Amino acid sequence: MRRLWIAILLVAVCGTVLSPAWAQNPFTHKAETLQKAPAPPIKSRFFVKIILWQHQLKTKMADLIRQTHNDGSLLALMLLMGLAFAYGAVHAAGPGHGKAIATTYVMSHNVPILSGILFGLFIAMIHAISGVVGVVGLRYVIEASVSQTLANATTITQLVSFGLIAVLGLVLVVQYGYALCFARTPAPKTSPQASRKSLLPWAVAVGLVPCPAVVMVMLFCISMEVMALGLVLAACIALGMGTTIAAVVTAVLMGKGGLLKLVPERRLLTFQGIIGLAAGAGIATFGILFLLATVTTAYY
Amino acid sequence: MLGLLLLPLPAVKAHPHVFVDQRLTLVFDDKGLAGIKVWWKFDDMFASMIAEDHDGDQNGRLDPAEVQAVKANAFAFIKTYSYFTFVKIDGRPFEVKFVQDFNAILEDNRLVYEFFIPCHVTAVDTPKKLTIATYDPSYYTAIYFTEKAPVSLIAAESYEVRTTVREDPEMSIYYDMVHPWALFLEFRKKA
Repeated sequence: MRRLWIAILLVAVCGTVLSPAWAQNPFTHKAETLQKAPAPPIKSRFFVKIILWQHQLKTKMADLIRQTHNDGSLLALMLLMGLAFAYGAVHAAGPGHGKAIATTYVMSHNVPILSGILFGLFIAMIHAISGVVGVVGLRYVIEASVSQTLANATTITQLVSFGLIAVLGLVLVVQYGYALCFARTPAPKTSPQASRKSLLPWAVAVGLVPCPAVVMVMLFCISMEVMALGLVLAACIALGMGTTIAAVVTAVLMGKGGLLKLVPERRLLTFQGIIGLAAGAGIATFGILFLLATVTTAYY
Repeated sequence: MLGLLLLPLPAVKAHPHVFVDQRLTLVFDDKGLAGIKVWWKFDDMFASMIAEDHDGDQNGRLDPAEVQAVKANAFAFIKTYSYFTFVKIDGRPFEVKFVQDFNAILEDNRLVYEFFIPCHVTAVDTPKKLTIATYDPSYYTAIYFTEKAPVSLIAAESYEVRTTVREDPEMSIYYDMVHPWALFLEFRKKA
């Protein structure tokens, strides 16, 4: 029982530290309801550093985009691609980018490490593609004000994303709850071998909201009339973000493997079932809370 | 899950995408402190987004009508966040409810916002202590004081003024993992 609590706590810690991020630009969008933060438990120099690194990387990228635009230097382009990858990796190392949902999902399923890595890359790619489609669509198809319209589009994608997350979480609750309560052998249903195909709806749900980092890089490149460069950099940023998410997912999968070895074999199936149920409940609760918060902000 | 439920929702969704270099100017008058003039220089990519949307004639500058559009569409919303400026006077909070003299300047693709926060504090013989912390509570924006001349004074000749820029250990943001930087000000009448 004590080990079960350790596992549930692990899920809770993943949820706390590696939370998702779908924020709106406060300069161009109505503010969300303010709530007071709890008492400070941690002070992290690491997070102070990664924020500063992002600032420095972004400044350097802007300079190099100008240089590449002006002289077409191949060296500058290569350096720029490296910086874009590093920016994506560092950016995703902070709180957010769907790591909470991704890690909670792999906690509750038998996901091979390679699939976990692909899952992280899928999330980042969809997050970036959403940003690229948003910018190109608004700029060239609708020809609307990007910051304002993108804020509205982001709200809509948030509603869809949180709704999908809530539904997927509820599906897990029903699957694992039924298996635990009624199925004679809960093993196959409570711990399904997640195929790569089954990871896609989760990656879409988590990555659907346009990535603001990609949006800003794309807009900057478009303003310099080097949209192709923007697309290359968006891919590099996505690869960087995906690498970080995949690393976190892999770490959780390895930790989970070690944890399961501590559980007696005769209780393993029940244990996995309860983890799956808790993960589903956590994901569903998360989706519903954020859906309600987004609806409240957008329409009230 | 419990941890997830306990988190404030806006905080859960935050991480910085906009970066601001900041300078503060403390403006005095014949009674004491009159207010704080704020200068924010944005990162090039945010500047590009604002220019794209609001520099209608794309001449690389913002004319008065364009400045008003920027104010309405890319500044006024942060009133909810006290314009990212959190002031304490002798330990008591002073809420920034409005600002004056907003201006947005676009020059060489760099975007600067300037505005004035009225904050009247009468000088006396004993020191008045102010803390001016600047941060975005939603943490979409990271604000840094400039390395050179982060703070300057106007019309402060009649007062003894001491300023320090450092992290404020009494405040915590970004999942309570970061102390925001703040300007610590002490001033009194000259003997």
